[in-house]
Amino acid sequence: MKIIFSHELYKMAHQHSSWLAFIILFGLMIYSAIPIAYINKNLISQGFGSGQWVIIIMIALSANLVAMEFRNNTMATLLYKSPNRQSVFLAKLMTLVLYSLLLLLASFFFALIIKLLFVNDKFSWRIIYHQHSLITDLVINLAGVALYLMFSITLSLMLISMIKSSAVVIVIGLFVGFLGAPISAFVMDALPGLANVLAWNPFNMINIIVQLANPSIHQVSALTNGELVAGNLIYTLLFLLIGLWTFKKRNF
Amino acid sequence: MLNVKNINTYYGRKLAIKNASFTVSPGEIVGLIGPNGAGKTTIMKTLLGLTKFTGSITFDGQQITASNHKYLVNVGALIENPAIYPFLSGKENLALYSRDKDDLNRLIKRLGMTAYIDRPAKSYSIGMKQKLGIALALLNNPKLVILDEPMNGLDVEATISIRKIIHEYAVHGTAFLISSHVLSELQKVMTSVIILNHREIVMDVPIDKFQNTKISHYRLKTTADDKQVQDLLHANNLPFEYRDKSLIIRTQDTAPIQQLLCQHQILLTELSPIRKTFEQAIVNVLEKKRGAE
Repeated sequence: MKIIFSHELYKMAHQHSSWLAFIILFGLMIYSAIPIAYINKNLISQGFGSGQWVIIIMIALSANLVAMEFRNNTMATLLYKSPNRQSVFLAKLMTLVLYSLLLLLASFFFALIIKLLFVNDKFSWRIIYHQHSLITDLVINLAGVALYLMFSITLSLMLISMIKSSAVVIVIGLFVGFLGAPISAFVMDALPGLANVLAWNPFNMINIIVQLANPSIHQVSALTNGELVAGNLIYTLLFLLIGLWTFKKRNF
Repeated sequence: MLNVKNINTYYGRKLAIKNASFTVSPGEIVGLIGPNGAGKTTIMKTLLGLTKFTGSITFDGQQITASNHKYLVNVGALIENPAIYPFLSGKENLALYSRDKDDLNRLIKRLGMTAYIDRPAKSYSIGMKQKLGIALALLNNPKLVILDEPMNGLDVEATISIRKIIHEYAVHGTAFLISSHVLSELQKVMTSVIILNHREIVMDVPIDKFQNTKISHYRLKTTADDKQVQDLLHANNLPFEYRDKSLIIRTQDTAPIQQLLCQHQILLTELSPIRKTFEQAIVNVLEKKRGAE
């Protein structure tokens, strides 16, 4: 397992896309910050959209990390050289989790840099927003993103284990992540009697990236912070188990 | 070393290999032959624990299953296309699975890859990639090497070199299971042959069985003109065929024909046996099997 994990890290480090993602993330955060006149506390507390950008990047990279093994015909070698299939799946998961945390950490520093460059004199990190200092808000939001990343990564790995096409997995991942939330809200509004149950649907889980720092989102998600954290962890575990089972059972 | 007993492989509900059994011993070079879709690659994948199967596969006495490959540590394989990460150099691809740096460098040199091994693999030609795939299979001195169409994309020089390398490894005890559609290539290296048809093994025999096939006809050339000899054979009720400017006669007629020619003071310039080629022998086996069905 240790060897397979080190191989995965080696492969990740040698792919241009792994490094390009940091540059793309920085570029997208600057794009979110423009025009500078529209920068407000909300945008800063969300790290200039870093949460959504990191999630998009990770959905694509997660799908690609497995799909490239099919593309390069390396999956067979990877599997027969490994003691069992689970170790391959878990090594890929661990690599993606580690990488996503690094990307998230980078996004934190990028947010500090962008604020320093664009609006340092206008907003102080110490000003209060949602009952916390702005910097605390940013950290809490990024913690929410970290939890949702576990949801997204395991979802992508589960889907790519079922469907070999990374393009399809990316589309489904983005749909669940970004179009799913409005659909979830619409369904909950349409069926208010069932809202408490429907609130646990997977589309609703993305609210964790903003609700932990901003309790008013509770009106939309219909779940408490604790319930959102639990929901994300439960779905992560579910996707992980289904992904592992599918990966173990399929023919290669 | 490798013992396969009654394996049935399934893709979903579809049976891809039916009740296959065979063994491979150290130093043996086994050719896996069959028409497209017969199940050659599927058998190889099954041996590597990549597909679901029933039955038993043991390697060095240890059970291989679809979920447990740890005993395949001494097995190398090239399945379908070379397994290469294009963003790594050839050497990095090999180093990923190498356990012995000296063995790695020796293999690079032996396969003649020194000139380009440090270049990114994405810049390699098909032949270079194929060699790298074979090198991956030969890494760490494996006890068993599984090669699926190893000569694909290789030029004549590389093909000869790979054939020599296979022999060298086999002499040192490495067993090979090789599939190829170029039967003449396989014939030059293998010690036994497994023929697959319609997902099942129809023959598993030593290669000698094909190389020592019965001589059914002889090619005859003489000092006289062909027309004169044909008339002579006709007149004496000796059957023959005229093919490629030669007379083809039956084995049992060689003695009376020689006597007849001698009586008419005609001398032989060629009397050579005609055996079935390896390809013909394989085709015959497959045709017989189809006929039986």
